[in-house]
Amino acid sequence: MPEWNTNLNLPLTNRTYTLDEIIKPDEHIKPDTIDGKEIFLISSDTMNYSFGIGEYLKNRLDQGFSDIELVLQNGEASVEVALADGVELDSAYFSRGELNIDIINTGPSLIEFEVTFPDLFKSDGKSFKIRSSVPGNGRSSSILDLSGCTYSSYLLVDKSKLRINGKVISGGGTGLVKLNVSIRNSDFKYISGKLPTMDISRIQEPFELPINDAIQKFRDKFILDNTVLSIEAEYKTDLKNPFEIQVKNIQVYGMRNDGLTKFLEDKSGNNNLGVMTITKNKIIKTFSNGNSNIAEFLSYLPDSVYLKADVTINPQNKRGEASSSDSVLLDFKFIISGEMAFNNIPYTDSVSIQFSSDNKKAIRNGREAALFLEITNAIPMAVDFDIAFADSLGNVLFNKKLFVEASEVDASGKTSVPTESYSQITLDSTEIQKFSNSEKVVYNLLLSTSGIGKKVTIQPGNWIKLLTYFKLKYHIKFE
Amino acid sequence: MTSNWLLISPFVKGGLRGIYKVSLFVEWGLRGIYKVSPFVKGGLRGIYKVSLFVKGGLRGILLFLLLFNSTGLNAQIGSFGVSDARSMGMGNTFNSNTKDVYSSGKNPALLIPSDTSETLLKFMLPGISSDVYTNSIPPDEVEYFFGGPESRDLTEGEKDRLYGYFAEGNGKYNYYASFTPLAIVYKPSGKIGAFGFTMSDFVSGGFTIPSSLAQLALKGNEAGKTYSLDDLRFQTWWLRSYSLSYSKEVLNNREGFIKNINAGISIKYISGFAYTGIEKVSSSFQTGEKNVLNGNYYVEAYSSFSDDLAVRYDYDTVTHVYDLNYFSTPAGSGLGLDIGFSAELDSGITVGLAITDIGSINWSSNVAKHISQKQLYIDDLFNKEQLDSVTDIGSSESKPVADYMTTLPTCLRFGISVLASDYLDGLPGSLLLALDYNQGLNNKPSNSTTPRFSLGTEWQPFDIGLSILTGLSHDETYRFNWSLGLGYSSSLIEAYLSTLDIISTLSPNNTKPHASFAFNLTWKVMGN
Repeated sequence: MPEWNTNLNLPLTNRTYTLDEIIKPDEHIKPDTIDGKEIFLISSDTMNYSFGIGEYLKNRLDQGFSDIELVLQNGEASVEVALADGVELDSAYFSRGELNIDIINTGPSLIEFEVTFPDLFKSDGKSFKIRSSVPGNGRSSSILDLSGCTYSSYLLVDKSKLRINGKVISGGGTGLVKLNVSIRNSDFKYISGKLPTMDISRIQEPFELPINDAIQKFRDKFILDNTVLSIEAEYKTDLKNPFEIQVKNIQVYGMRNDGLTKFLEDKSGNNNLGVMTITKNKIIKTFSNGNSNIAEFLSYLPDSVYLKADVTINPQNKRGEASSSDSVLLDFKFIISGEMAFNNIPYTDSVSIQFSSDNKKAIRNGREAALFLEITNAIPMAVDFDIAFADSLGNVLFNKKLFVEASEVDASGKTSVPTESYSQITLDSTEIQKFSNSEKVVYNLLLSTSGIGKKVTIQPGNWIKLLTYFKLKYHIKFE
Repeated sequence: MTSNWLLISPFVKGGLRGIYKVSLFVEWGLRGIYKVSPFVKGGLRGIYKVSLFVKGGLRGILLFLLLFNSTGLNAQIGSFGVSDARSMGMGNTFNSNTKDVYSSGKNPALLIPSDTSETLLKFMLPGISSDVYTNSIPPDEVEYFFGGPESRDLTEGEKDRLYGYFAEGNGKYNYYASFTPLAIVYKPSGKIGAFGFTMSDFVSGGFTIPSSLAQLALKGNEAGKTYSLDDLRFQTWWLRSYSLSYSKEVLNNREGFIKNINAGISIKYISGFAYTGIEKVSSSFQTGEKNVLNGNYYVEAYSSFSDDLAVRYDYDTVTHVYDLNYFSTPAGSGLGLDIGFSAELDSGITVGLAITDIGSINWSSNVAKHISQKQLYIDDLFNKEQLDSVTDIGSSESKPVADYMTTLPTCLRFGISVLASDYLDGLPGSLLLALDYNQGLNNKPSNSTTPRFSLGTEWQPFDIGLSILTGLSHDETYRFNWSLGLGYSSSLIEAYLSTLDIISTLSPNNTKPHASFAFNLTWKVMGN
């Protein structure tokens, strides 16, 4: 039966791809229009950090009052003591705390004595009272749990005072009774009033970035243009008048694994990025090329980004309210426009190919092939291809090279003139047989934008036309 | 903390997606080629099967024809169909030199021979004629290229040689056979004229493999070249003719320049049992710039079959019972007319002029119209629609039609003959020389608009009734045939045995395969 080689001249493809077809928009990349210019916007996942203000509520009422003298008249007395540190308490709900009280009987005989805190209520709503038998010239000490107690000073004119009442229930004498009162380990689920300004713990939070080996190759070889870092702060509270929070001395710096760091700086070169004052509403601070070196910072490609800041609560020492469940949520997000420059960025990837036995058989009937590529490129990026065909073990069987020139760009970095590249790839019989045995195609690419160092705009409408055709010497065999 | 800060990597990944698509191109491209290759292989398989047909089919067809062991008065022979054994031996030359029982379908004026006795009654039993030829691949080459299971990797020279058999003008295959169950000529007297009745069956047809198809298969598609399959041809039929003929001498002037003129007419009722033929072919296929494939084809064909052949179309809901026999139900019918004249000049020259097979057949049973058409444009093997247009190439759609008419193989015939021995002193016996010109007026089985010329001679060297026949003729491609035959005539019988191409007959592996054979035995009841 005869068999022979015949020459087939066949088209392969004639189609045009736009970048928005190639790069399928997703949550991280999508086309947008900024200043009338269509571009790609590439955004990172939102990174967030949250901190509560519970620290601000801890121990705010811890204080002690000694030798409070109760001058009894008709067996009763009342006294007001000032709260420490200028605290003015409108109301509070204790989550924790203990009240230590010593009743000192300066008289010679035993008395039954009752101390009442008229503005402090137990969880059952009754006033907070302590009754104790105190021997003559003796004392009685008690420790009381404040958990679940509430405080309300609405009957008090001076919110900075704590009222204490004393009463002799039984026993004789009209002597002096003294009290030592202290509050320890106080903490609140809620508090309102005027609590003094307080610096809470400093924020120093790292955000790991998924910089893999492939991305590392971009380092020091590309420059971004329009980029934005936005920090959004939101006060998470249900209260109407929360205390103001000040995030100050903000520093953002990137650190590579080798320890090298780079700070995000303002236009003056200062790495202290200022203050964010957070009230009940959201506040957004944006770092762009206009006010920072953000493009340079992101081009640095750090492995981690650190946020450092000091936090002050109630910086203006105003009245307010706070809840232990209140928190502040800080969101960080990078947005990069498709405006950049890079040169000779290596990139490697691979895809698996699995030919069916029929396809393998068909391929092996090829004796010689010449693939002609006419590529019209309106994307401002050149690609130097090195395509390697490998077997299942990764052994390279053969490779081919191809270069696609970048388009020409105008002063604004947009494609002005598409470029045309003509290439020819030939496969001899041996390579065709190897191709049929390939199970993996490894792409080694060198990517460069148009013009060295010149920033270009990668636009969704950028296109590349692939006109390819081939001549194949094909073996036909009667079976 | 979640983060994904791949910055421009999505862009790069997008680019790689594109590259990956390019890699798929390669895979899909090869799939495309693979899909195209069966088409090429299919075409080659067709050629191969045709070659097998030539190789083994010739014997089969001859055997088939022999099975119709019948007498033959030939009609519907067209311009290239073979006739009786006497004419075949003379290079298929008959327009002025045939006679009585042999004249039907050629020139009815010659039904009444002027040199025979007043009363004539003849019939033929048996008589068969067959002719199968091709100008394509000869049997030895079929054996060379396609014989045996072992592979033969063709060199460029061998490819050129194989392609040559299908190159421009080649690739034609023709076949013709006739048999006659009843044929009789009766001439009561010269004044009344002669009557003839013939019932004949014909199976004839042919096909042509387009040279472009062979070229595509063997050499591939050349960039910038346009290929056409318009020379694709296929037509075959099986007809039966009931012919009633009459001939009479209309002028008799023995002293004049024209000594006599005979006129004849045949009226035929024709039954058709099977027809298949391509009516229209229009095709063009081009490999354009950048290897863009662009083409179209339109093939329109018709078929009609007797119910008894039980041919079932795709759309048929009724299945007939196969019951083929000599009296099967026809699939079509028609009328035909032959008109002829002959004249004998005082110089001994006889001139014949006829037009045969004027008429048509209307096929009305199991008639189907088959259309295969395709617009082809491929510039992207990854375009599914474009690829699909290749994969279903060659498919056809059939639909029933009420009837379909085919014309008969109408032919204009002219011939001149002379008894050369009258002019050659010393030549023993008699020597008849004849020259024919046959011009088909349409392209039907055994008929062609290509003119056919032939030269024949019959030499009777001895006065014992033995004759030697030979002649030269050509086929539709102007390849010459050298014919040879023998005849014997007595007062009781006439017998002829001949072949149209003695070289091919003696040398089966000749580069011009041509199997032809004719035998007639005529019984003389009355007259000579």
